Amino acid sequence: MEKRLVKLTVNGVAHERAVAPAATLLEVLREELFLTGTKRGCDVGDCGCCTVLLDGAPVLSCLVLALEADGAEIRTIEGVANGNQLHPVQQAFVDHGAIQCGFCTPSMVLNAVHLLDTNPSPDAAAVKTCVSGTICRCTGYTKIEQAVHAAARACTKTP
Amino acid sequence: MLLPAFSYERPAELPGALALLQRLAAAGVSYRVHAGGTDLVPELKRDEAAIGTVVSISRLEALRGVRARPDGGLEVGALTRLSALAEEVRERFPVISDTALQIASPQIRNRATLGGNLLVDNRCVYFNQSPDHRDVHAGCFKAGGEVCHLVPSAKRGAQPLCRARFVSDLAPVLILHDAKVVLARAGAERELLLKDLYAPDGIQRTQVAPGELLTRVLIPASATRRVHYLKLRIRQALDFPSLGVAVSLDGKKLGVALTGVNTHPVVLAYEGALDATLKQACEDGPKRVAPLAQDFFSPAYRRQMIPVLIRRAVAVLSKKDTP
Repeated sequence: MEKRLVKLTVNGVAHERAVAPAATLLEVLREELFLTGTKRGCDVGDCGCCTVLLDGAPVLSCLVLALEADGAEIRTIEGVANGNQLHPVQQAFVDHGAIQCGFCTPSMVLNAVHLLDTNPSPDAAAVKTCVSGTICRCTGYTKIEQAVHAAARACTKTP
Repeated sequence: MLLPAFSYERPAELPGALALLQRLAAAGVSYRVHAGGTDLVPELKRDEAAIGTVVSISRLEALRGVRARPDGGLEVGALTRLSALAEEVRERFPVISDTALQIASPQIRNRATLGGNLLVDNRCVYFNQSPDHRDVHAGCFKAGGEVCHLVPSAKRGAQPLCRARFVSDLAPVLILHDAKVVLARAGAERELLLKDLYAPDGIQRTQVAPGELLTRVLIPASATRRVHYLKLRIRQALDFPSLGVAVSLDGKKLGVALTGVNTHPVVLAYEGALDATLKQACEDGPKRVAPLAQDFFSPAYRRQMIPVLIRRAVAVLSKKDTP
């Protein structure tokens, strides 16, 4: 089918690509823009590890047609750290051993970044909801939740 | 999984979208409406049906959002995302908000829409699978074949033909609020009680005609009715309801709506003293459904849980009664 132009701002950089209607946002990010931090897991919306922030909200990029994201601001895991300076969420994940195989980590981090942006002092239920959309096959949820709570404390301390 | 090729239209205005749907329907083109895409994209990836055209309505901003109605009720655009719905109706209809937050996961709720949840495809362990998985079995009725793997004795002409189960969480809750849906077509629209939207078959699931689009959901106000929803599932996220029980109390009226255990939502209504109506509902509920072996929980367990959840929901609602 005929390709169409799609404009995306990814991690602050504007891109324009010609894509087929059948291309997903995940495929464009990984295969056209080479941003492979966004993972392809189940590819049908069950596992959550393709999460990106689309206009600020976490979504599953495997379920978003690239043409549906036309004009959107996308933030991927590559846009979370500031140069070599890790985001407080990333630092907390490292400090708390909240990473085992690492496959779900980009999604867990982006969901946590979104949570702390919208709710700086999340309670236990809010943190559980935050991780509920991503499957960690290493089952390391306890440490991931601890890391999110620690990141919340770190974020509220630094002005 | 790669998506098959399809043509894609994304009209900017509702009249244009309705005209396009009418043209496609008249030409006999197989099309699907894309709202949030969270149900449609997996369907397309699994090649569940040959789709010529995807009509995306995601630019129809007129269909997004919640508005107050003169009667004190609400009008909700079908394109309202579940996360936005949960926020915007929390004060007026907390049970609708809570129910929306029990659907899927946060990421999916940020795309999935109210209309999409009401029209979510019925689910079957044999049908909603990859083509490779489906090819292991002979094609079932829904796949255009001549067999039902859940009910192997079923012959074409059976009613219902396809036993794939209904899985919307919001439908039973909105049905007990007497919600109506607006189905628009080019130049006309009709209102339908939500409970009348569904057909008792896993293939012909709804009354939405070719060329029609679900545009709005109307929720009337009621000062006295209270509704509660309980969902049985393995995990507290992502899963469709193995069984969903919505219960409403309004004076002497008791209402029950069930999801996840039949091809369509099952609605029961009673009037009288609560002791008697509750007993009757607990007896009737399990008899009115036909759960099949297509879930983690056995059909017998899901049936047994119907009276349990009805009683639990009534207990919650009765508690709210006492100040």
